[in-house]
Amino acid sequence: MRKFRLYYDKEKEEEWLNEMCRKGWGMTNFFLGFYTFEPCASGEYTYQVDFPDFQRKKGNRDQIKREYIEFVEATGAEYVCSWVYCMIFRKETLKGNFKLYTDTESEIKLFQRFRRLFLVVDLIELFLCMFQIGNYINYINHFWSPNLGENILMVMSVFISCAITTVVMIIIFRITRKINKLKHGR
Amino acid sequence: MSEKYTAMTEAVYYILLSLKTPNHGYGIIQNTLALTNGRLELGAGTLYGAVNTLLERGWIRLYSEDKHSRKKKQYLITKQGEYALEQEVQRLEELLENGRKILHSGE
Repeated sequence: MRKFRLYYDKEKEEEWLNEMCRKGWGMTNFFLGFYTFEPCASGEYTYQVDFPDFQRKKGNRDQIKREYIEFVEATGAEYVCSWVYCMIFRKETLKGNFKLYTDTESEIKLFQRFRRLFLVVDLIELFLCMFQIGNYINYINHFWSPNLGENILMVMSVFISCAITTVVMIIIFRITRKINKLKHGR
Repeated sequence: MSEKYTAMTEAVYYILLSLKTPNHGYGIIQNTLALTNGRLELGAGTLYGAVNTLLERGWIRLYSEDKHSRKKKQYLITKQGEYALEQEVQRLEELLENGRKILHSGE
């Protein structure tokens, strides 16, 4: 079975994956918002979404990633899949608790890494947005014509990139709020 | 050389204690569980981050790397790490002493 979802909050994502597992669907793969599920026993696994800290590590990316997976798997968990820097692990519920981040300090750092990712995305989007606005102004000044279709198309593209920039900005604010909550002990 | 000193997190404290003898990641988790009677179970992500920070600070070092075993990397505390641990124990002793003294002074 396949489902399309977009999550920016890893806790909500975990909740959903664990809920699906309770219904007998274990998540096995992810690509561009599409989650693949396969039948499993109800509540067989506990899922965790991870964004490991590879930034400071020097050396071969694949090897660092492989070593990290081995590190986590040595604790009884199972690697499910990864997408860019995001990784998903699961552990059989019978084997006990499964939590990758067990203190506030490391949880704060985890959310800061997520925030940094969205920040990079937003800066790129903001740049595109400004480019399109500039483009539009240029168009009005030099090629003004009563061609309504062309005009609408340009306004739409400006509008869409502005909308994306704003949405990602809201996500960044929400993550910041979460980080502050963690810092001040809720 | 004097680094600004702040209180250790529980994770860092127990990782350092677990590395008085060479140990690997999973061993640190097990040792911490045993020392705290099952209270503190370090998550793999938390442990990974803390181990990297400690390596950077030079408080622990890579002891051995077994290419064939699943246990792979073993770590060991350094002189600097032992010093930091001693400082922390002294700080905690002061905390405890003051706590006990003031709490029981009215009895």
